[in-house]
Amino acid sequence: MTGKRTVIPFGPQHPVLPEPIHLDLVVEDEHVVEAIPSIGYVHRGLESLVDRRDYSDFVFLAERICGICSFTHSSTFCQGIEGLMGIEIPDRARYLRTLWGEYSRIHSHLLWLGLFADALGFESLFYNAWKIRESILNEMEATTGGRVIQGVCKVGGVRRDISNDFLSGMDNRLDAVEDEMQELVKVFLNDYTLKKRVCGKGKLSASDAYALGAVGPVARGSGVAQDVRMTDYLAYKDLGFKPIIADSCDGYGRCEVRCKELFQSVDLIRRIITDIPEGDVSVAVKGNPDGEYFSRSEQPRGEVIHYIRGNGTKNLTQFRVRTPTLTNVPALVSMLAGCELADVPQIVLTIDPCIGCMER
Amino acid sequence: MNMEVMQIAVSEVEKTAAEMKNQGYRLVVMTCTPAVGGGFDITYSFDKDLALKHFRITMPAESEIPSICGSFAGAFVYENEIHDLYGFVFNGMTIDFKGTFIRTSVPYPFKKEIPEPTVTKVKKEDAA
Amino acid sequence: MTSAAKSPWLLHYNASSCNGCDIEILAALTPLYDVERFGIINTGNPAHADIFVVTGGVNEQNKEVLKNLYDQIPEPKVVVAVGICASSGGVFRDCYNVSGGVDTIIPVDVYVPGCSVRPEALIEGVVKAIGVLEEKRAKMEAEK
Repeated sequence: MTGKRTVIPFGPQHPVLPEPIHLDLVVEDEHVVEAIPSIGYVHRGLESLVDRRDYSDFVFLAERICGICSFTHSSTFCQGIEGLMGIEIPDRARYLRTLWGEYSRIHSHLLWLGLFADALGFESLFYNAWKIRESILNEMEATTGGRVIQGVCKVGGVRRDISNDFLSGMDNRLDAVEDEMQELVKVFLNDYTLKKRVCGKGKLSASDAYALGAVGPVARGSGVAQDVRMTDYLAYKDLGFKPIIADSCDGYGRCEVRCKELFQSVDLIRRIITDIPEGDVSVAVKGNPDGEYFSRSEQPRGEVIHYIRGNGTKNLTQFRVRTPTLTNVPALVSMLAGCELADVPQIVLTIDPCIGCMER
Repeated sequence: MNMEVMQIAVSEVEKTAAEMKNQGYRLVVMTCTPAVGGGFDITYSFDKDLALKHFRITMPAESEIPSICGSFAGAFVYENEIHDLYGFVFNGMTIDFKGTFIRTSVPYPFKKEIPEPTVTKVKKEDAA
Repeated sequence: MTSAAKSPWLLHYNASSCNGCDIEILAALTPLYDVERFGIINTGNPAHADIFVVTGGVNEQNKEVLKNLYDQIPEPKVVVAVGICASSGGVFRDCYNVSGGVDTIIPVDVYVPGCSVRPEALIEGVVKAIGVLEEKRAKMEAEK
């Protein structure tokens, strides 16, 4: 019974996918021989709007590239403009951006853990993960005014300061969150059924991960220590940073990296709260960007690139974004080859696809 | 301006990619942008131990470019995207979507030279 | 047949949204907001659905998908446009690939504003949609 190939379309509307992506799965019996992705269901073309919005307004659009990694997109864009114009943002703003960035990493990883549990049919675990995520979103809302789209970053710094009293309150509230996350992560890393579903599935060797350009937890789950936070942007220079890696090179490894990064982010936030310097949170911005800049930072899903080019006017001439999901697609294609049809949804989820990001 | 870009000829693209691969670099991104003097810049960015290297070719619209999928298999996502948004043709891609990777309402929506700035300045005598 | 109004099933489709509204729709299902206590279930199958929840400004490739899904939902059905993009195109209305709102493709009954939408607003919108669903059902009965 070999040799008979069938093509099964998967998506764009599929119960396990919160977002539309389409895969043509070439199967031989139950085995996937090849998976061909096709995207474009969320392509809006927002990069073309740079010539209609001035660079300071475009921060809002950059933030809406994706609703999950929104904060990191806005801070990466601002970082690019500031780099072009030679603006040095105040230290307190640098720390606050790092703080919000790490909070959004926790929110994004908890979101992913929930969706992943749901894809495996473990609904109560999904609810538990999202329950913890609400306490993170509460802090986001209390400090920025927005739950998922914050609008707090601007060229030259940030819009809001957080009082030191509130910061220490945040620190205290993290204790409870940390305990709850410990309980949650225990299930993800030790549960027999969950391990059965993810261990050895979606194999990606370290050399393949590197050669295919995988980034973020996909690369780190395959033992590649690749994390832009090692490049000393924002406050990571002062905080010192060591990436978390796992070497099982499968779905379990990617899950493990995200679980451990939750606690790494909590540690970073605690250090930020202790070390945050006093001072202003923004500087006045004069003039227009001129030249080109390659801004990158580490999103929850991996390295994001904002390429910015200006010509001395209010409008940028070019803006291109390369998001982590796009560069993880070749790795996904390689993981899917040879897997069983029933494992396709969960393997797709292990790369934490963010289609909104991927297609802009 | 944190980019040091090496301008190369289109014939050197495959060779440069192979060299980068041999030296253990990772392909970060291929960026296509309108060039200042007309045509388009395609910038290849590579990374090794978090240090970036950029190479750039400048091409007239609709020209053919050799694919670097031979060295970096993951390049197909960028090459298909540049094909769909700018109209360049890449020869030798491992997966060629033939223009269906990103479907757009306008064909090749980014295929325009540097746009005129939209900020209009009012001359003093007109203002009065 | 008032069971549909007491337990409406939702079909959610992301028609080129940025995800912000989508994750808030999911958040509304989870313990803090818990719309499932109203009998609302998020289904993946259009043939099971009563209320069609759409996010995003609808791009070129989604037009057909959206129409297909709408046709597959049995009558009576209600469409809820969630978020400002789904209502009018929002910040993306000037993009070349965005049609500018769900109502350019299929009829919309309830608009929920916000960028991104808050779960409370979403619940309000769905409750309004249940009312519209009930009206449409009564009208269908009367025409029988």
